[in-house]
Amino acid sequence: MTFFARLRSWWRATRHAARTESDMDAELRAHIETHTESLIASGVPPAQAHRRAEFEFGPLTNTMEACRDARAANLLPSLLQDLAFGLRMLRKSPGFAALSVVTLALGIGTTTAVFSLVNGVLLRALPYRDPGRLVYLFEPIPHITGVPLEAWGPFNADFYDYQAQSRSFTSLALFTTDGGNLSIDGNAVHANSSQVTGDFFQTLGVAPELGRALNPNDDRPGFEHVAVISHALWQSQFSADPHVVGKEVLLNAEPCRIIGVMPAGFAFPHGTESFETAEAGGRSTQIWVPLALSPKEKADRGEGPGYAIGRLKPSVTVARAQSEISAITNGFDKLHPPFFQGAKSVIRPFDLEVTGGSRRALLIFMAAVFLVLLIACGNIASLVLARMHGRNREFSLRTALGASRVRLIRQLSTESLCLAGAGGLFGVLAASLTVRLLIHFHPTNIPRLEETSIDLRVLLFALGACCAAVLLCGLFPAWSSSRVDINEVLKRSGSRAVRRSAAGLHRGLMIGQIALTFVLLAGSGLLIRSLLNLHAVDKGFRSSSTVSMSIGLDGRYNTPERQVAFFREVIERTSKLPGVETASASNHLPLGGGQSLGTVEVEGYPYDDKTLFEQREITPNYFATLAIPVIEGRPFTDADAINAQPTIIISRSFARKYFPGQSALGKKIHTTGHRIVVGVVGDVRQYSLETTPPMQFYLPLWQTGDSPAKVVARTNLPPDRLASEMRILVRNLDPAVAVADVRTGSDLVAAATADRRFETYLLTSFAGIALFLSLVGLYALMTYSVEQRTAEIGVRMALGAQPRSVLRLILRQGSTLAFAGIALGFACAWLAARSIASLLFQVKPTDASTFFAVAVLFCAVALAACYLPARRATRVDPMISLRTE
Amino acid sequence: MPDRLDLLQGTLDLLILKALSLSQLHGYGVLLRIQQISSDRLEIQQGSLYPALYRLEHQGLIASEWGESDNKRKAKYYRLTVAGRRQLRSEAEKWSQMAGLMASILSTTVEEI
Repeated sequence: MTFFARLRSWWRATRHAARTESDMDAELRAHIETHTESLIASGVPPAQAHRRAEFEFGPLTNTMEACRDARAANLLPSLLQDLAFGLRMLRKSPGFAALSVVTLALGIGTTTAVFSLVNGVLLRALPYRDPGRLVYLFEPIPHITGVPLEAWGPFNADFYDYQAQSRSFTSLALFTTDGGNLSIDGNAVHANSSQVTGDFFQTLGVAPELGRALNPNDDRPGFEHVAVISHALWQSQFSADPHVVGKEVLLNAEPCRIIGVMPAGFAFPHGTESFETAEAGGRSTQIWVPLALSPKEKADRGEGPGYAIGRLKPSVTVARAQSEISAITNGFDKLHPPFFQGAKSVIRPFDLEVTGGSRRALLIFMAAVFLVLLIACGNIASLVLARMHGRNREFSLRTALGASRVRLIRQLSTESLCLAGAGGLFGVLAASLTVRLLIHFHPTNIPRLEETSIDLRVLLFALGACCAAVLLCGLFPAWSSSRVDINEVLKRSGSRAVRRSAAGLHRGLMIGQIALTFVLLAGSGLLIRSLLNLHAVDKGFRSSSTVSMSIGLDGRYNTPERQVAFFREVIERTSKLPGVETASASNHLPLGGGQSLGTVEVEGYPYDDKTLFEQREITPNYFATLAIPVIEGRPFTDADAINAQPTIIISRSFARKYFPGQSALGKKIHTTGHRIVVGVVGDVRQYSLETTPPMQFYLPLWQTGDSPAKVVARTNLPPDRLASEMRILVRNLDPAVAVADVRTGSDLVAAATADRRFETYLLTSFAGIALFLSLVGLYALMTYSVEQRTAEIGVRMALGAQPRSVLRLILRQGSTLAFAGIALGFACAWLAARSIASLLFQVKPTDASTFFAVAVLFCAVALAACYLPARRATRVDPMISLRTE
Repeated sequence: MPDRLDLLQGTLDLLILKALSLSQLHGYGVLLRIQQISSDRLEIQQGSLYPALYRLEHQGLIASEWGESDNKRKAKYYRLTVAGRRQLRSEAEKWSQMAGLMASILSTTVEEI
């Protein structure tokens, strides 16, 4: 209750400040007058009575001040006064204010943006029920190298053994990532599809928003003609029709009935980093159908089209599930075909797998951005320290006039809060801009990036960063400058009261800042070198002026003859389109995602099942279309057909390894038939630009027949034009077949380098910001130091020092700092570089030339930052500087 | 003239509350009343009275309103609030306990130990 009374009283006193004041005045005067009268009444002469009354009352102004304090009436006015004074002081030095706000905005802005990114990708919950209990189950075969772990789904029979024997899971499901032709009312589109077993939706724990999900009853041969569609597909192809459930569509020419629609945001498994998705050309699954394996397929231990996901029981750890599963694997391993024996099983937490590859990069960015924040805070601290120097006299004077230390600290904190508030505001603005930019660049390898947005947690983080900045920047100078020795300062007329501890701290801050900046610069230098190396790498093909698209065939094309006939027709008609130079097809395009590996038996060598070759099936004009050099022999022709002599073309590294010093032409190689080598072509970076291509061989598509296939044309037509021509062309051939994933060759290369470019740009911008901040800091420090030494410089010049020697004096001071910082940074960067080794391409983490280039660059700009204050020092007028002494 | 005592720390508030418990008074009246009931034996710095009055009002223990004094002057009259009366009771009790305790401690002789 007394709290409310106080609040009311304070409010009244504050709100009616003028009346309260005049009331108090009247009351106190009335007291003195009454006392005067009573003194007169008691016989004191009237002339003396008033003075005596005033004397007995005591000092009036002190009483009034004490009365105001008693009602806390002063609190708000003095805060407002502080604020107004703080703003006025900032306005008086706009350069300082602008630099500080920019520093804070950059520091807080980048921190918030990258935290948003990390928050969006790493911390925000996945859109599944209790995702922490979801695990993948992989079944790698260690002796087959070169295949990533994520490509190893379990064999069918193995999966059903796990499902039957394991006690660790509440449920286990298989799923595939496919693409197919979805025909709705006679109109064919490409759709990302997934075949799943009955427990799939239950395992993920997501319920449909409309209709029902697939259940084990649907997962039986004969009952599998049902489908669940995604929210996005429902909206784009069915105009969000609420009666879509029960509608019949054709998926790969098979009829199926839509039974449910999944909620927005659910698009598993496409778009999940672990799986091959670029091939399907989409980041989200659009339609789910039952896998419905037959009993014969279920018993197969050599086939496994699906990947396995499971939900652990609440009490079961990953380690326990792993040991149980390993025991089961050991039990049936000898039943595998000999080639697949020795299989292991690996359980991986789902959330780790989803963000796995990008986690490391993101953590490195977090570290980088934390460094930037540190530099920004150190910077603003040195700016404030430098400014305090100019205000020593002000503070001494105020202390001498009776301002308490608390009052000074409050004043300084208010000023810092003004700064931090403005910096925080601009920081959040900068952050939201940066996040938008990051999403715009949209590197392909950061899953769920598009879900990034500034949210409450990020805002809190920004505020935390803000408060840290305020604490660091505001309170330390407040504390150290309120310890000013008044006598000392006033005696020395203010300008040269050097506080050794503050100066030392200031220099220490600067060296630390320079060192941190050097670390960032060195890191980005290494990344830039990597990116340049990557751009300069010989891809082995020419991507410009090509347009590619995928065309998938369905079960009606169930013989190689039918597939070959279809594609022959497509290629022939495409080649005749105006503006098309050549056209060809392949099962996979370089950098187009997708991989097929095979083993071969080479004439004169024993069969080696450990060496995997990249295998491509191509049509005759493939090498011409992609400008892959034919080194020896000939490319395939239409004559390499089904009934003709089986032929093969091998890559240069293949030929060198197996046929050194002799021609490979005419040699015999056994793979899907005994084939004769008819040509040798250059090595092509098929799968990734960053890895040296393995040995490769090509088979004529006309002999093997394959589906789905990519069609690629060398043309100068805009991709959209070609795509619409192709759509018409394909529809004329078969209206149920869709053209999907239209991309230019440059798009494919850009996508293959997107993540590296993103990482490089990001780290380089951090380094740029850090460089800018440290230069500002160095400039502020040098300006401060020159001001401090004005008198000394004046004396030197009066005694005959030349401007050049003064310039040298100041530059030497600045470069000593810079060199100390660079040396420290060099050492730190050398030690820290190993942690980004995985992000580098053809550069050693401790690449000496990069380090030295960065050091030289840094020295040059640091000297430039010192030069301006040094120039100012040479213009010191000895007369003026000595007179102010 | 009897010896005049300096005010003990914190007792002014209690004295003001006591003075106001008898009747409502203006500031000068409070001073006179305290001098009167203490038989002029307490030395109060006149100016120090007002911060104390303001503090008590701020705490809601006393309330004030403007009125007219005996000599036809505008004066601000203070009176005790309910909270003030309660405060006076508990403070007075504490004070007399303390005083009794102090008195008995100070009057202790060697024999009594």
